[in-house]
Amino acid sequence: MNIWLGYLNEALIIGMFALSVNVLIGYSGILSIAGVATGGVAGYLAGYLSAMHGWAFLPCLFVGIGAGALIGILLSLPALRLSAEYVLMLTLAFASVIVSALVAIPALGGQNGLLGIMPVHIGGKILLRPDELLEFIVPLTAICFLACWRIIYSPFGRVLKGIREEPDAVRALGKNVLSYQVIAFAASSAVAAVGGVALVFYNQLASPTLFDFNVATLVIAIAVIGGLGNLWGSMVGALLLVSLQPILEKIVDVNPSSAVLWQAIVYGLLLLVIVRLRPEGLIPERASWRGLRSALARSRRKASPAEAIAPVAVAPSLPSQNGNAAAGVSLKAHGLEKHFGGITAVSDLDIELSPGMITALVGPNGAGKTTVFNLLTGQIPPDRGEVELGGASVSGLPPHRVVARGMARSFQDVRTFTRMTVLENVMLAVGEQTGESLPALFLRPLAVRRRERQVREWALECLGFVGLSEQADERAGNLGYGSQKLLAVARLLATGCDVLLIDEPASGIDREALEPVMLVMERLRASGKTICLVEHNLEVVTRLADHVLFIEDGKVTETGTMDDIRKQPRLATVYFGHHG
Amino acid sequence: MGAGFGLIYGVTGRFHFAFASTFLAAPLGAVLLNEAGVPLVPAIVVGVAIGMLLGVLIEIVVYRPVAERSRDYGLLAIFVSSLGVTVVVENVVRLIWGSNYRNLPTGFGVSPIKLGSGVTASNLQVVGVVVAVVLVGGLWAYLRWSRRGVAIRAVSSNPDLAESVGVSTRVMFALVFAIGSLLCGAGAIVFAMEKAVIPDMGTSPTFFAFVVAFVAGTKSGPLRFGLTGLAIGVLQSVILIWVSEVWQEVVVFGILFFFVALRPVFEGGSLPWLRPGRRAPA
Repeated sequence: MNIWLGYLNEALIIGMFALSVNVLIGYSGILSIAGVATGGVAGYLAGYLSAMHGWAFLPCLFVGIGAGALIGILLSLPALRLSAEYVLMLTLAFASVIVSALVAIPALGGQNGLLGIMPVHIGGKILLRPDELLEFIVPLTAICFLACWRIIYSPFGRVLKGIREEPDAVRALGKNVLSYQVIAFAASSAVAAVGGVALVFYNQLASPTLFDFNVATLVIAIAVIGGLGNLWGSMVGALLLVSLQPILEKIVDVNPSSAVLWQAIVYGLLLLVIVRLRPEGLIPERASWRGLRSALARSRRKASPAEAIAPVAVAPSLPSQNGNAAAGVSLKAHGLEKHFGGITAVSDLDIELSPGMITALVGPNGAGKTTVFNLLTGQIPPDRGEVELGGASVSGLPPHRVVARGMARSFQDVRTFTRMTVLENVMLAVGEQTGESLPALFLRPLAVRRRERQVREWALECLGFVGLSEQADERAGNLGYGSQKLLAVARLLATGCDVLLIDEPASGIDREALEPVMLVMERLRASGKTICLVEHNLEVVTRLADHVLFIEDGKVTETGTMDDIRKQPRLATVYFGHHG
Repeated sequence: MGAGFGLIYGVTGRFHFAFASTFLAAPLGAVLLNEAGVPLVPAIVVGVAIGMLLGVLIEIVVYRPVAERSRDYGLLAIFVSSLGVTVVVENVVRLIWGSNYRNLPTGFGVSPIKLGSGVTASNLQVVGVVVAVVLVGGLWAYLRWSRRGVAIRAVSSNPDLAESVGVSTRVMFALVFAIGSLLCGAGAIVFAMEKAVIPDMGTSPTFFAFVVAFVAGTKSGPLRFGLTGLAIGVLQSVILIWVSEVWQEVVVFGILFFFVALRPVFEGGSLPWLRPGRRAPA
């Protein structure tokens, strides 16, 4: 029996590593294999303190966690500026350096490892046998699991999932993407550190082979096989793969030395099969009892017409973040200029937007209309020029700060978070959520819950405004393109911003879907928002725009109403081609 | 070796960790054939061919379907499946042929040669260098002058465009895997002659190949790979002489680490996280 408990212990420890991998790869989309090595550093550190200085388990654990989180932060700073394959390379190099350094440093016992680590005491009892060791492994695993759970299923986790799909969109909705990723990296590393310390104390030995590349491979295999994006999957995967060897050995009666090999072969093959046939792993991300139930409920309910629009007046129950929603906010920019290499994308551009008005930017493709949006929102810093929002300069601020000042933009290619629900898409966009801070998540759960309820209500209201209430629980990726355009508007609305820059709200959608979009635009204008559109569909512009800026080669060449623009034969030629 | 990985990665963008399998398959094939009585030279040729075959098979059977299925998660999927292949191959080999060392005979006596003052190299190492130079030179010439070589470079720089002018990326990918595996297999044979054939022999050289490929730049030409490989080899020997063997890997991977970590700095001009507006979070 004790043998099985021993394997259970091992599975739980490996499971902690898999959780850490899952938080990073599964939820944040950062492909890092540094976790096990980070656990190694933490484990060695804890082991060293225990063996050489006689520290007790708990202080060692905390030092280990601190070290792990620190490594995570340090590692994330260069890693997050790199493309995915370089992150992989960086973490591979990191892992290799760590493992070879563990071997190379004489004080750490070289290949043989660090011996003499004190066993764990709980209340004066020394834990030695597997069933006794379970007493400290189980709580540790449970804590890691719950912590990961809390992080993933929170506003913080929601933003992470958004970043995994569309980092630019998350940034444009006012979130500091980098800080989320750094924190995710640190949290994942801290969990790996717990695993590392547990492993060292469990074995009463810190040796390089506990943390080498084979272990890293196994852990990734577990996370992938169990299901990236599902925490239960990681635990189930760990139990499955770790128990494979004893099962082969004791039950199938393979001799011990080949059981290890068979275990590796089976998990290698399983990995290939899973990646090929079931990339979401054994337990996919959205698998949950509740999900199953609501899917059943949905299928019983009659499908409502997708584009039905329920006219609801917007009631801004949340004050917009800069507090002057009632007054309306105007935007002024002058002298904007941007060069890309030798190409002048935008030069000497002035633009003014006022509340309750829709301004449209029109012009031929490549004239720099979207670049103007990028410059206004800080997505791309302008070479020259000033942007003023409600009288205060926002020049040089990064996108998420611009959003906090009250200006948000949407993208031409909607950038829906397709794997989240419609409601989650909108909830993500709401600013200043208590649950987006990890300390608050753990220390102020009630405040988090209260705020989450408000956020939910506000998001539902925004959805109602664009007529998507019915689809709130649907997966956003299942929406039609027209509805996704509306969803993008709902997200903008949810940020609470007063100045909305909307990139091609009508492109790529069919005629029936056009009407709801236009209605929403008109209703936004009526509610006092300051709106700027980039749009090619002149029917839309003619109906919506109060003011039109005609942009050619990065310059405003004409302003006025659409009728004014139409009357200019030259512009007609530039824009409409020959039949103007 | 580095050139082989670099070629595969640069052209196909596939993070081919299972290179380790090829590195094992080629000399193992040679050893087994040789033990079965096949003369050394044909055994080596067949061994390398086995390595190539394995490389191409991995591409066709494993990577291609995975890559075509999962566009967004391609890197993860490929990396994970190549880990899977590596693990399977290594352990199947252990299961069938055991984990023992096997020696690949060299066919000639290994003797030290003095190269000037105090520096010695065995004639085997000289052979290794010659093989490497010939292969890298050959690859360079091939990519530069042959029709196929031009096609490979086209696929490397823009696969969609190459496809639209009638170059089949599928065929080219397979060809690239064959060539890459050829280089890898040849390197592995020399390696095995010098050391021995063991089931996990591929892992560490594969890591070194990563280092060479990434430090040289994955899209650069074979000559650069050759020079980078040489530089890292020299560095290793220097560490071996001046410090000690155990520090070799630490230093080599440390270099890779800083190289990769500082990449944005080289490219961005200034420390990117100090640029205004992109500050690291407080």
